[in-house]
Amino acid sequence: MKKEQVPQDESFLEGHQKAAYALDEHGKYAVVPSRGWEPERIATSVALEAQDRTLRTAWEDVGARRRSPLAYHMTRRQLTPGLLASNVGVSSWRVRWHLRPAGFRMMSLGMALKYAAYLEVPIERFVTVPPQPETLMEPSPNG
Amino acid sequence: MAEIAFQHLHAAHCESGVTAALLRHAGAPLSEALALGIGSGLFFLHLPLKSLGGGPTTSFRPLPGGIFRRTCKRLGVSYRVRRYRDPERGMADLDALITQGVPAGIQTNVYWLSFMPTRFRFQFNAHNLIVYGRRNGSWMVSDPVLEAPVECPDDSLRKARFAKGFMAPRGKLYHLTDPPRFSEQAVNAAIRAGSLHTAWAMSQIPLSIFGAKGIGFLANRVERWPDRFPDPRDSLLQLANVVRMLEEVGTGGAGFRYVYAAFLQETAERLPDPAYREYSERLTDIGDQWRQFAARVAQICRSRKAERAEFSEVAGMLRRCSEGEQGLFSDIFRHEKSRPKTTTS
Repeated sequence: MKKEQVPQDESFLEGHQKAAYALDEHGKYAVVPSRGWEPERIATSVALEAQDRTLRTAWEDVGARRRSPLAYHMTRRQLTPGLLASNVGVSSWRVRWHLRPAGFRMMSLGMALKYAAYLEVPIERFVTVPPQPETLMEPSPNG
Repeated sequence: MAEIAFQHLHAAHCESGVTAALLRHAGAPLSEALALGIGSGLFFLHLPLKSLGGGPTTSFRPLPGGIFRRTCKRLGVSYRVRRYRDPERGMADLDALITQGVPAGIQTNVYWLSFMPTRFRFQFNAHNLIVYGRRNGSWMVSDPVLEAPVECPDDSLRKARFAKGFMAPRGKLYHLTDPPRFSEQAVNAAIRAGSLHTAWAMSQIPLSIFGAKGIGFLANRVERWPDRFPDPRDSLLQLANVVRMLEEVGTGGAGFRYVYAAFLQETAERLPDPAYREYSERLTDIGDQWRQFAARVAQICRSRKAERAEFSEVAGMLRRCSEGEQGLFSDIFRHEKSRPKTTTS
């Protein structure tokens, strides 16, 4: 890739630039800042859409009382029950129990505070889910 | 409050960038490309398992943590690596190092780093960055994949350093202990060692999931995805993930192939060894093929259809990359093997 071919496309970098390696006019490699590359943005948006779908499913499950609000907050942080368990320091069986509406209702306040602190959700919002699931793809730049 | 006068280095990859920046700070300038080459930071691996990260994993690099270690060892630079059970001690040691004027490399989770762009935050535990100061309860961070230094609040950095899970950083903290002193000869020997190691790993490992052969293996899997996943979105997601590993996660373009070509080019001049000039040009061409692959995958993703013919087409592109890399790295391997052994260390 030549220096002038380094793409400067719209991206999810939020104004940041990444370092790309490209050949300068003398055929020498140089580091060129890049604002992003369209194919990369498309690939990323495929993954972000998949995350949004997973989160929406969790959100619907909570609405239908199939799972507890913890499932939503956990999924929003891209965590699995196992990961959440080891990060909060409880057994994964306990997390699975708390992912069920019945287990969630019987959870102690201390336990709820622990989860809420780790997931960075204010405790008053921890017991519910937002009216609409949050999305990562919201301000989609064309496409 | 303490701050070290530290020159930020904008790099393609986190670990080679951290290694090069730490060495430069200690008075031994080394480019990122050289650090990646000496530390053997180029690889390929496709794990067709569901267990890690929820799906098949493709990687264009060896396991994290090795580049810094290998570069230091091959150059004879002394360093120290520590891990912690107790976050308090881990943070206190970092603070003490900064106060002594020693910038430190740390391993972190990416998701909890508040300065990362939102859509790049994902649960990945092997990011590397440098901490070089402390101000008003925030850490001053030089993250090589960003173009400028940033600040990171204490709780965010703590959470990122002590995240649990696969490849958990466990507070990993590393720094150089003595001012590095190495001769030109030592650098040349280190370059040879790094190059031989990479060439071996890419062309000689007899298992089909590793190295250049692994790319062909991935091609075979790619061809089967449209039949394996009933939902086309799943096949497309798999394909998109390969491209993300290739481009998005800080590789300097084409999954480290361009950075490594830069290393081969620098090697040709440094040693000097004209054969490496040709190797560099070949790898640049292979890098361009990887980018064509990425561009084609993006088109397919856009169509939102998982057609067998199109998946076969990109599999064919992967096979060309595989053949090119197998040929190139076998040649480098033979070239290095056939050289008379020198006794510089």
